[in-house]
This record gives sequence, C-alpha cells and structure tokens, in this order.
Amino acid sequence: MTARAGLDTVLQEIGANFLRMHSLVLEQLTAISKAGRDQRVGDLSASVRRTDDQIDKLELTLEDQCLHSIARHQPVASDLRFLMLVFKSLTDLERAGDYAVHVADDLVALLSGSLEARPNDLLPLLAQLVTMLERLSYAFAERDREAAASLVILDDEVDALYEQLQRSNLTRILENPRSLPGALQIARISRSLERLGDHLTNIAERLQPWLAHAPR
Amino acid sequence: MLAPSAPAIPADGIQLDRGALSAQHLQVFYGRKQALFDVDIDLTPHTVNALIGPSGCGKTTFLRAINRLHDLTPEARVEGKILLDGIDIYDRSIDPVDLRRRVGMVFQKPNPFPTMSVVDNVTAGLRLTGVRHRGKLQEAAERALVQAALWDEVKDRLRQPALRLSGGQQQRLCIARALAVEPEVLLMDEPTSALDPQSTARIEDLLGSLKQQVTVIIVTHNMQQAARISDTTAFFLAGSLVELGPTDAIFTNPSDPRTEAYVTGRFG
Repeated sequence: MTARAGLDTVLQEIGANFLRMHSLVLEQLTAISKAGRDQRVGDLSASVRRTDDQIDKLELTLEDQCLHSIARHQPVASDLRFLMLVFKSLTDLERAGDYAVHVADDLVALLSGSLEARPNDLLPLLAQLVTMLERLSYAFAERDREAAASLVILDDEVDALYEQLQRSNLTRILENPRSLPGALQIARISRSLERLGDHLTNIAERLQPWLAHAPR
Repeated sequence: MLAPSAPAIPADGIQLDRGALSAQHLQVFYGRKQALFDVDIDLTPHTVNALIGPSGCGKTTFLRAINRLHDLTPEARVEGKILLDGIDIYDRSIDPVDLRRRVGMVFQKPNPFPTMSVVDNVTAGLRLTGVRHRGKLQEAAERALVQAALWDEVKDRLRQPALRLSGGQQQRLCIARALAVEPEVLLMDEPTSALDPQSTARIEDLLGSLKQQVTVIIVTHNMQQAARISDTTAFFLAGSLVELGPTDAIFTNPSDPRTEAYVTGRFG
C-alpha cells in the first residue's frame, strides 16, 4: 500500500467513525422523542446512557486515530484541515451526547412523577434537533455546503422555540402555581436541548469553511 | 592561525536593501525542449523561499538560471529577465563570475575542494576575487564559519583537510564557502538530501539565521522540510509556476487544486 493510500484509508475510517458518532446522538434524540410522544419512558435513561458510553468510547478512538495519523503521515492542506475539523468537533458531539443523557433523566423524572406538566410542548424542539442532526450528517457525508449552512438557520429556530417555551411555561406558572415543579423540569429539559443545538451549530460552523475548500 | 576566540560579527548587521529577486517572463530552453514557461516571481529580501514540485518540473532549472549556470550548457537558452536588486542579471554588462559571487550556490552533495584545508576551502572564493591580505582572509573565514554554525566544531582543526569532516560538516563548510564572499542570495539545491536527520536538522536550524544575511532559495523534495523552514513556497509543475504564496497558506489551504494534490501526495 502506498503512503497516500495508507492515509486515505485512515481518513476514511475517521470519517466513518465521526458519522457513527452523529448516528449515536441521533439514536439518543430519537429515543427521547419517542418517549416524549408516547409519554412512556420505559428504560429510556439506561438506554440513552448506554448509547452515551458508546459515544464516549468513539470519541477516544477518534482522538487516537487523529493523533496517530498526524504522527505517522504528517498530513497537510485539506487532509490536515479535515483532521482538525473532526478533532475539534469531537468535544461538541460528546457534549451533545451528555445533554441527551440529562434530557432523558429529566424526562423520566417528569413522566414518572406526579408532576403537572405538558411534555408535548418539548416535541417541536426535539423534532428540530433531530432534523439538525440529520442535516449535519448529510452535509458531512455528501460534502454539502448548503446543508451545513442551513443548520445555523435551524438553530435560530431552536432558539425561538426555546424562548417561546420559556414564555408559555411562565404563563402557566402564573395561571396555576401548582404547575411550578413540572414547569421547572420542562425548563431544564428545554435548556439542555437548546445547548445541544448550539453544539451541533458549532460543528456546522466549522464544517462550512472546510467544505468550501474540500476536494470532492 | 586563527584565534579560536569570540567570532567576528559583521558590523553592518542586516542589510534589508540587498537580495530582492524577481523573474519576469522567464523561459528556459534546452535545445528545442522548453523547460520553463513564462515564470513570473517576486521574492522578498531576507526570506527563505522553498521551491517544490515533482522531478522534472523546472525548479532546479529555475535555480540554475538565477546564477547563470545555463551559460555553461551550450544548447541552453534563457529568455525573459531575472532582476537582482532591480538589475537584469542577463544584461550584457553583467559579468557572470561577479554575479556568482553575489548569488552563491550549495549543491545536493557536499563538494569541498578535496586537496584543501578547512580554512582554505572557506577562503577559496575570496582569494579568487583577489583578496590576499592574510588578516582579512582569516577574519572572513571565521565570520563565514560562525554564520554556517560550524565554527565551534572546526576552530581547532582549521588546517586539517576538509575531507576529514563528516558529511553534515562538509555541507556546512560549503555553505560557509558560499557565505565568505558575502552574497546577497544563496541558492540551495536539495542541500540535505544526502545527510542524516541530525545533520539535516542543523542545516535547517541554520537557515533561519542565514536569512539575516541573504535571501535563501532552496529546492527540496522534502515537503515537511519546506513547511518547517521557509517563509514562502513556490510550487512548480511541468515547467510552470503554479502557485507562490506564504508557506502557511500553501500547506494548510492552497489556492490551486494542483498544489493541493501535490502537497497531500495525491500525485507526484
């Protein structure tokens, strides 16, 4: 195998593992959405946590792969920028996985208890984040700049949904003080989801300049 | 005998007004074969400039054109201009021998004069230009050896044959020989390709300080070396200059897809 072919193989593996990390966060969000929609949590916490363990392991694997490919191949230009993109984005994806765990735990607490709450309010936010993740994976896999750029707009919509949820929560508390504990739980979850969206946007913002010069 | 004491440092220090080099519509032919096509390039004084590209791309041809080595090849022909400090080096009034004093060259393999001592090697160029004063020759030798980062290693064996030095030391001796005549430009044609990693590192370290005295133009096949040592990088392909830019840009985000393909090893 030539040196170039060796580097190509490693870069392909890194790209595949990076996409796999996206898929795992997507699995977490899909499971959370389903539980929210069905208002049945089952083993949501445990399963989201198991997926998070896989995400953490993949993060370490990818860190090693990036480090070794730099040490062994001394990549430059688009190869180096690709590795930097992945390496920097790992933390964002790992954090996204952590937020999914918080959301799952809080949703379980919300639905398992006797809190007065309306978890359906969270569904548009969750759906938007699922779309963001799907769009991000597509942008990376297909080298699609427009898809990457659209994430910033989607995140603005996430922020708007989050604000709207905070306002309706507050109104509900004022109307019915007994709804306070549930409303606070919803506020916590929506805050986690909003932060999760920010991490996905960070990746998209890094992806755009890389895509502008990436070899096809 | 030279005193192995404090080395002489040029009193004038950095001369920023010397060593500006530019080529305009430069073309080189070997008989009917054209080796360089319409090369335009501007190099800033006191910078290290790397020339990269696959074998046969014209980088060495370009280098040799800068000190008129093609004059020595009967079927070679040069068209266009090369300006050194604004004056065309191919002008009839320019003496090639005088030019080669202003534009020194270091080759792939160290080529010290085998019958000469260390110090005689360094002063050979000066003696050819008519300098006879013993003190001046010694002073120039010491200064050049210091600049070439060789002084500490040879100060006690200046009268020994140059061939007793290691390969890396011999190459630095050749650099000292080129520096002794105080050139404005130093051309280096793969100067470390025949050296071990340690000697290569010493030459690379040296380049950073050499640019205070001269404009360095170095041909290298070692991409990492070009990235480490140069301020600007020029990429040649099939006789044409494809891209010239700051080394940081060439190795992180080159403008031309051919440069990208070459530096990432996708071809060449």
